[in-house]
Amino acid sequence: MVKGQPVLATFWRRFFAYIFDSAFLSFLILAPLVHPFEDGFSGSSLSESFSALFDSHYILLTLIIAFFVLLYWSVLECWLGQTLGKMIFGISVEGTKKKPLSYLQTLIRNIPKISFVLLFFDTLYMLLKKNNRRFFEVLSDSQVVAEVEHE
Amino acid sequence: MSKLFRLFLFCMLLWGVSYLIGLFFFTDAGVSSSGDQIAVIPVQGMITLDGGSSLLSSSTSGRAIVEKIKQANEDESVKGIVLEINSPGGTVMGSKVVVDELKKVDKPVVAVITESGTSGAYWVASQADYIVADQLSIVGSIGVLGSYLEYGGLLEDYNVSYQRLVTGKYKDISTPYREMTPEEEALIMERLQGIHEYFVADVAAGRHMDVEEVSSLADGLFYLGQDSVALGLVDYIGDKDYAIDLTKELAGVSDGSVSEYKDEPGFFGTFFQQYLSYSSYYIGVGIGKVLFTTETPEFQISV
Repeated sequence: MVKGQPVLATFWRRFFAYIFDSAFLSFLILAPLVHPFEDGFSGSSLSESFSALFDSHYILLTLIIAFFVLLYWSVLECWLGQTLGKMIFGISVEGTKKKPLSYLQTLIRNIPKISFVLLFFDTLYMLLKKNNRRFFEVLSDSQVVAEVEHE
Repeated sequence: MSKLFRLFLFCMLLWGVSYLIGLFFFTDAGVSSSGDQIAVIPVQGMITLDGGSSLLSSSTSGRAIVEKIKQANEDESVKGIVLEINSPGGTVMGSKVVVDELKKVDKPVVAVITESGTSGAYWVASQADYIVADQLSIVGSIGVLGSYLEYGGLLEDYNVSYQRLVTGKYKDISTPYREMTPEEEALIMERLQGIHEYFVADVAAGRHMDVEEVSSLADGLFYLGQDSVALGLVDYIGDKDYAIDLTKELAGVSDGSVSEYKDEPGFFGTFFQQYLSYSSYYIGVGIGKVLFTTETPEFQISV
């Protein structure tokens, strides 16, 4: 088998890689941070949980989690070209201009990951344009590719 | 250094930093662990002995509530207990184990009924020193329920017959596959009446009322909170904050913190809770717990 030219990774491969990375981040890396706050979010009423969100500790926690999320994706994609989820699903990140990715590029392409709403619209752009590249990937001159093998 | 090893090192580093931040900055932000406390213990949903749930319904475990009460009673920093009740009742044993444990508590206990505190849930509430409810809370429904669907006639319509093979003539009493005989009905009613009298006696003792007085209210009817005060079923009209303040007053604690004794979300609950919206979290809990649904018996006595 010979490794061929990489092609843009499909939506579903990217989706499952993202789900895996999210679960890995949530259950392992962020667990020591989030555990003291679980009581606040399993409240008996929506208003209790909503009020808890405005507690200063929760705001600080949200900012720290956002930082960790950006760090995980940006550093690994720049340093290794892929996160654990991408490694498992056989996809990786590369620049569109045949140059190694910089930290700024990986930071920009992963900004939507700190907010579900942002990521949703970013992904919607990709689906509407049908080009397998999110808006922030176009901004950062990067793309997610899958290696194709053929005989 | 291989890619995987470098990835592992980086993830360990991230985890370590996360752990240190959690340890030094957020340990006290969740449940308070020092100073005088008022424990708030939820009694939510149907009460069964061991709990259990499916996508469409769930029940709370009486045994789990007992553990929380024990923990609060043994914790020297806990000076009083608030039972936050929103439950239609449940099985006899599910409610009774909680009632029995409450009788052993030697600290002030205030029950606050939010939406509903009926049947077995009211039995639990009646063991508190005081009961607080909203004007429109549903309270009471003191009685025992053992109804079930009997579909022997339906089976007969489809030419399906029930082959009765038992040793002991009452072995299949209350089976849904045939009609109950008058003798069997009388036997079951006798036992339901026994449970009813026990229930009424406990409520009377807990509420410091005469058994006759409680019996007159124990026809299964529910009452609104605003009417329950005059009937002696509720002490004050108020909400959870009122109940907490009352407990602090009874415990002689002015600056106590509130410690919520809530259930830890399960695997699926934690994933959805941390990542998606509040409503998605509860959908996730339901989907996750459907894998662990407990069998419910066909005939069940409830209070």
